[in-house]
Amino acid sequence: MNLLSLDIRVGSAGVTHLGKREQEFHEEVVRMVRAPTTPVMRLGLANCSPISPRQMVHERRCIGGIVQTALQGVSAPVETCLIDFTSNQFFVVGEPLLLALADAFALAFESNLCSYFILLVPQLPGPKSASLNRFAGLTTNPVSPTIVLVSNAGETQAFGQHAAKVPRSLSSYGGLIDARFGSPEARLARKCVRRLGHFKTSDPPGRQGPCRHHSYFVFDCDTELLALLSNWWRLHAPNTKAVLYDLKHNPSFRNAIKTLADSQEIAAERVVDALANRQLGSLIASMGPCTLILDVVEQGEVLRHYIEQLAGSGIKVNHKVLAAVSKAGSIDVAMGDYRVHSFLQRPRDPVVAKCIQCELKLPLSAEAAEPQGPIRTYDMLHMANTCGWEPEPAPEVPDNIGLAFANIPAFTPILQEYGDWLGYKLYDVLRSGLSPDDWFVVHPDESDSTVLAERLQACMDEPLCVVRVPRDAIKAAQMAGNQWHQVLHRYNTEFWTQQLTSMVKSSALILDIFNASGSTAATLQALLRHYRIEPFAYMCLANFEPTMKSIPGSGVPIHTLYDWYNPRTLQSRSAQIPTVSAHVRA
Amino acid sequence: MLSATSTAKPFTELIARGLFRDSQRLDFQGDVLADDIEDQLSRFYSRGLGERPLLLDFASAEYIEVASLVNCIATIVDRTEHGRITAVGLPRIKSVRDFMRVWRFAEAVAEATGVAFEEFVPVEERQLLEEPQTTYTGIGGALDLLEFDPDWTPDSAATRNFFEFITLVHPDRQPIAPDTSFAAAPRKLSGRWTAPLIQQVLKRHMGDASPKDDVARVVVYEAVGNAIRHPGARVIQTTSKFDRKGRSQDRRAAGADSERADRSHCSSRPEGHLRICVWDDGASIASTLLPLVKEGCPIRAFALPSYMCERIFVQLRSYDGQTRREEVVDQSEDLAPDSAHEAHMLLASLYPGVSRSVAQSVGAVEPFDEQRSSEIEPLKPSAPGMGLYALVRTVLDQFQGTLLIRSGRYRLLIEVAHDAFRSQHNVRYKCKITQYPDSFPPFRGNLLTIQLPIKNPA
Repeated sequence: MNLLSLDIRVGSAGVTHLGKREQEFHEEVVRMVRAPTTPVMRLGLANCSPISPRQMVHERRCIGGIVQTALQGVSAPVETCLIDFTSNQFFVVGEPLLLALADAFALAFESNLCSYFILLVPQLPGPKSASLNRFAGLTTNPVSPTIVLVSNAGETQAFGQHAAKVPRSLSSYGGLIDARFGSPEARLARKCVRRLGHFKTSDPPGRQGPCRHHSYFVFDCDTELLALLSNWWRLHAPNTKAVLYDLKHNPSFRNAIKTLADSQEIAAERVVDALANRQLGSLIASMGPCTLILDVVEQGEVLRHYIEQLAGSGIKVNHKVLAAVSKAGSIDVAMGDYRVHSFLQRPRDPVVAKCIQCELKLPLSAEAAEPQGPIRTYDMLHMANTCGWEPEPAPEVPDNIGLAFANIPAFTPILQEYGDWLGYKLYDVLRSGLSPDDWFVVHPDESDSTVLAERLQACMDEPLCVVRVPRDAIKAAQMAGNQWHQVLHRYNTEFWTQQLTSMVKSSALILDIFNASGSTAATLQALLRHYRIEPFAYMCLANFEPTMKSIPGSGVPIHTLYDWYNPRTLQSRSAQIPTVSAHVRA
Repeated sequence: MLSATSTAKPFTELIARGLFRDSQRLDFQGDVLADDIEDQLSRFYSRGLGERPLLLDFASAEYIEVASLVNCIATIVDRTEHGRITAVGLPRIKSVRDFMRVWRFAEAVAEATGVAFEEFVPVEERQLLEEPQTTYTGIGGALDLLEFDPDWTPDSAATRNFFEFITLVHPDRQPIAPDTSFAAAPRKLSGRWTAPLIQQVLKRHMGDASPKDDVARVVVYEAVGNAIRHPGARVIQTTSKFDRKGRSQDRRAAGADSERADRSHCSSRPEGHLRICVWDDGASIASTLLPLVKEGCPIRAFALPSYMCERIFVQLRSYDGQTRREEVVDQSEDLAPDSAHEAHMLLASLYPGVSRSVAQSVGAVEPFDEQRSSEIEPLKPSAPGMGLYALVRTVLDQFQGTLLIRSGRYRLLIEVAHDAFRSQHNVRYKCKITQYPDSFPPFRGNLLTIQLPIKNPA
């Protein structure tokens, strides 16, 4: 049985490769729905099909063109056409889009291009929605296309000639979805960030804890925490009637607890409210032992403090306690009579005899939220000193422009150790209004830049299109005075040029690890303009040329996490400029 | 704090209660619905007082429906831009003031007008703007936390109250265009409704059977998507509220007694409602369609299969309640130039496939080039004009709710026709279109109020 599958990315600015995992996922779904007697043979389409944010507003009918073009692009009639929306959140799969898709199915059926369509959607549309009305209307004739909708939960809704043969639910489909997108634990781990700063524990009130250089936070992970919490609750606290929590820095977890409590019809309140509000405290106390949920558990001081305080108000605490993050050495840890389970384990902060940051009179960092903006010098040097220094990697040196750096921070281990935080810092700037609606990332095809783009993607719920331009192509363009038309013919079969061709009217973010002369950014900007794409910003971890606020010769702003004066020594530059190692020695 | 600041300062006179004669003071008492605002405004305008200073006085209000606050803002924006003094008298009851505070009414007025809210408050009451909020604590169920997040700080990415007014406005108050960054507005505003906490609240209060994601995917997305397309809009605001029977803060809840239920936005449901309001200050919906139809331009690109077009019982009536015409229309009807009028176009905006964009040229579909676009010509149908159609299907058929549109000189209320009425007239929907008197200025912009019934008020 042949299969044509389209992986639709709503909100993505350009095409990306369809991985083997996605392809196998599509084949497995066809086997589940149709139980074919012959092997499933996938036809063509190595890339996903994007629908850009602009098209979502102005051209939601473009889905019809995408399907039509794909079906016409194969020589044989297609036995199964699978349209996959599972990479998207359901709310962007709008009714006009599904209505246009219904028209595309009708046209394909009338044209004898295909008669069996499988539509994978995160949820099934409402039974009386316009789209289901349209799908049902298309399939009223005895000879009609078969249309099968499958939700992420494995529920099916089938219309048309062969609808009766489709199972009502696909029991193992949920496992396929988890395998494709990761378990809640894995997804949560991607949304947990260890930030650097100068933190001093003030919880519980009155406690003067030691200073810390690290603080953890999770973001945009209500769904993952709810899944984990629900599972834990079912196993460990099914009969508990009340939850008390202290999560003022973790609104995602607080929301997950309130969601679970509302569904289970149990009470869930802040510890501080139960202690301050006598009426509420009495009510909680009357419900029997409550479950205590904390943000981070380390040495158990906060836990012991709250247990004592709550006992004073007549509130007993269950012996099973829950925390978002454990820094106590294990995900399950015994603390006195209590056993604390956590969803994430992170290393404990090193104990220091005295706080250097206090000696330097560095102000304390706000625990509540990661501030937007550059990182502190103390943190930059800490990362560099922790991860080491190295000569600039030879393959990445633009030796046609300038000399290699003798000594720079080892960005590979820095990204490994602190990439979650650095990626989040970039994401935070972008989501605060810097990025336009329709954008993608372009960067030199180098391993550190690739990791940085991956860290950025990990922060986002929407698919991010990334274009990686080989360094040899950048150098060739620079040798040609940034006249890309003189060199692009050598690369016109490569994927990155195909991507750029598909991205007319989008905006680009140029990404790199550091800026040293602006030459790479200027060359990438010239590349984008060759494709009539406007860059909206150039982002880098460090700007070694802080006087440069925009890409040379343009108004494209440079956003960096750290300004560090250390410009590259250009081939044409006569004066020797101090190197990083000189700075450090000084 | 109820206060909000802005830069402009329109009034040279200091607003004090003494400035307003009795005839210029609209005294809202007890439960205040959007209709109460319009009733009193109608009397005010009918006396030819429109250019005089006006006090919207909520001093005696005990409950304020959230849609009535949107109505107030539309009135204030229009009058302020015409240089007419308008003031808002604050409620005497603290919990009602706290409702306005937690819903950020003051900030919404300031953002919509560009004028600090205190400029609209009689000087005698301005000290109330500084009082702390004490009614909402966030203690209780998921809905209580959504209404007031006690851990919220100004640095938080989320809003303090999930349902509070959210304003979209260009920094320099330029018109909102759908091909700018405002294109993301439907996605951003509807995405908020997909988080587990609000989903749980929808599940609890609206029953298990309805797909809760359709509130985000269809209701909010399409309502906001419709607003950003209205020409000349400089401000878009959204707000919403669960009104639950039996809650002191939601006194009116579902509650409109039968005599007022008909005049209220929607029919009475004893358990309560979720109301979602989307307002823009752009050109009225009918005004974007009527000139095109009068010129003979198409506003519907294609003929739809009959199962996509429904029959609607339409009652056209005057503001005093007198029925002027009753008829049954089919959504597949021919929209002829000679029979087109404002009320008709307002209704037609809900038909499948009707959009002013049909009359505009349709460019090639990226990433396909011009040559390929000709191949997909047959697929152009079902593209434009499907947003409000899909919204109606979901609100009316899926959720058994109602849709009210206040726009121009009309108010349109549409709901599913039930049982005997349905079979008697062979219609799926019934629609009341109320024409406002000529003395009443056209409504500023367009207000969509979507009302979804609550099945479980607990």
